Amino acid sequence: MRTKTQLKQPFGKSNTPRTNQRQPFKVEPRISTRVLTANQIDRPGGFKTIKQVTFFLEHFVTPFAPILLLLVVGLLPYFLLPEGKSRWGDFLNIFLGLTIEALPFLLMGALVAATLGVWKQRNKRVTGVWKKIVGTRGGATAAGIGLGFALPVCECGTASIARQVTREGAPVSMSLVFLLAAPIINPVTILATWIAFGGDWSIVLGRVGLGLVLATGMGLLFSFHPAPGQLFKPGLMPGGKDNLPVNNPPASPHAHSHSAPTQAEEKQEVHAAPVADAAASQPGRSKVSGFMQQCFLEFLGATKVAVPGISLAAAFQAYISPGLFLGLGQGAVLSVAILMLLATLMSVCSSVDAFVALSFTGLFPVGAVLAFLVFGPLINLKSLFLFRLVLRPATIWLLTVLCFSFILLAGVIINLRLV
Amino acid sequence: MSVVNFLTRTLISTRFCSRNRNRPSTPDKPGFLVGKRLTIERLGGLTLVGLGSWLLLRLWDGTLTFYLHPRFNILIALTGQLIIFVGGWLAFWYRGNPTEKNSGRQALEVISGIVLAAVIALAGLLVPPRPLDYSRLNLSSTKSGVAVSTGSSNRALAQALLNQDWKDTAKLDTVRWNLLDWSAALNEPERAESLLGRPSDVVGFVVQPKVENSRYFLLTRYVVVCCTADSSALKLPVISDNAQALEDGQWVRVRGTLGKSANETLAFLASGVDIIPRPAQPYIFP
Repeated sequence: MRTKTQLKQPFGKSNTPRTNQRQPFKVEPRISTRVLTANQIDRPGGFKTIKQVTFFLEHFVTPFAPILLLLVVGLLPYFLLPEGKSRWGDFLNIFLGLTIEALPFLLMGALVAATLGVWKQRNKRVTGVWKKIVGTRGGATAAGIGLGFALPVCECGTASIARQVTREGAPVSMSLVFLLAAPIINPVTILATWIAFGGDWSIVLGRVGLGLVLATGMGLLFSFHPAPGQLFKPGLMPGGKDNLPVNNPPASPHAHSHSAPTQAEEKQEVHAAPVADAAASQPGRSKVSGFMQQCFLEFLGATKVAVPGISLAAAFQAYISPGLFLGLGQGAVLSVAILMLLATLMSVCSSVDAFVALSFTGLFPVGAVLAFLVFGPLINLKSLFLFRLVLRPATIWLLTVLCFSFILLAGVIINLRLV
Repeated sequence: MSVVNFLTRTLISTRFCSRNRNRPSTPDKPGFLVGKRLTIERLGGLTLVGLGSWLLLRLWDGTLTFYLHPRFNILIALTGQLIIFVGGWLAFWYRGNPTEKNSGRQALEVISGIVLAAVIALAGLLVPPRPLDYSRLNLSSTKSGVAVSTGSSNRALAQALLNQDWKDTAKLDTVRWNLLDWSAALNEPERAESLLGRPSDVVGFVVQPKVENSRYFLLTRYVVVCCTADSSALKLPVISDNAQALEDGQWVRVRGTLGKSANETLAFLASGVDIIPRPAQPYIFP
């Protein structure tokens, strides 16, 4: 059992072994063990231990990692590549173009998420309503699909909304199905695909159908996970078996774990506090101020994770020609893999990627084009970063591998006319 | 190390706001913004105002088309106004606890987001907008080719074909065609043959072939279906006596007729090549 004095020591220097004995649920003392005070920074010989360096990296480098990545991706080729200076203007142009294109959808996602958050804060019964609606796996899956059909947001906006619904207690199948299906089945994407392919319903239905099958399959598969909280960002899912809520109280007063946390859990907790949660729980604010602040935080959070992906996609476009990939694969299998890779690297918004995909129709078989249309919105440089708002890295990698395998298989089957 | 210590001290001071929350703070001075404490909300709000202003400024001066298809104009206008509204509310009318009163890590997360948004807004506002130009074509391996189109222009080409009435080619007003219309028409040999000798008046920029002392250059223009990430270059050869006098990337207006080169390749036979300033809309938007 830790004493109060031990808890206040920075970095757990006492190295007191943690036990699994039950303790009253106290969050603040555990977080305070990781706090470095100004006196300790000022102390002669500061930053001597690895833990202090780790602390510095976690608290002062990690939050600014997107900016560092943007600067590295944006400036390094300028100095290192022989033609870096001449192509830097193209990088900037494409980077700003993709950013401008993403901003409306990031804002839309933030607005919807903020609306849900404020609505929940003002209507405490909402958690109960969620439970009634999504009580079963089928109901949750249907709710995720319904939300995807209803909200006109691309992958830039879905992550914020998925995070919000997960925070409010939506089950795995609903969150995941929405996260994966919404970029493909939202009304804007369907309309754009229909217009781009001149009313060719086979492509539209193929895209929507494949997207739905994939999203539903993944949602149901992951819903059988024994500890769903492990799939999501720590602390995001209230009552998740793996989670100890930080700012977000569990949906049920008995839902949280009473066991003492492991060091790993404690480490995760520091990252776990979503800023928007804290904003939502502030007392004494007007409704409008609360909404505005949460919208601001959601928008900033989503922009921060989207920008590194956008910069990578722009660097690919500026320094490596997409045309290089087009000549690589024409076979039933390779064509699908190449277009999936291209979709990931190009990271074109799902609401307009149909126009890009159409240009491949004469060059690649239809299975490859469908794979481009389905895989691109799910797994691209932007969305991989945006998924970090909701999911743990391990979950993202698993999803990537499963989605790639499924769509590759589906594309090859369509190419070979096996169905 | 002293720099690190300075940065650390500066950043960590945000965290200590939460510890000092019970200390009687100096009340804000009356006024719109001047004299008030700089909270995260106010800083972020001003950043959002800058971000939204960038979008509206580019829309207003017409340079938004350097990045995006004009079909997005309304969406971008709405987005810019909404971002400015949210930012303005936070900067001037926000009533609530500032974010820095939460834990230091949370405050740092928000601050880093604000810095990132500020970097984007500053890059957008301060760096003069510049459209894609000749330099991007260095990536293409088709430089020495003729009558080539690359990337995602198929849909645009197909659409351009649909815009014309091909029943009677004699009635086609080819002088009004742009590079996209010509590229679409010349994609099919039979259709191209029927257009031989027809007049042309086309604008584009010059790409010199790798062949030395050639009498032709490639008239080039980008087609943008959505944003510059999907841009593709359309190139058509122009045979002109002045070809070697032109420089890569120079914007020209070519008047002449459609004909064939010595190796039976379709090309514009230029009767006049005028150097012109870059058009206000440098891309072709199908």
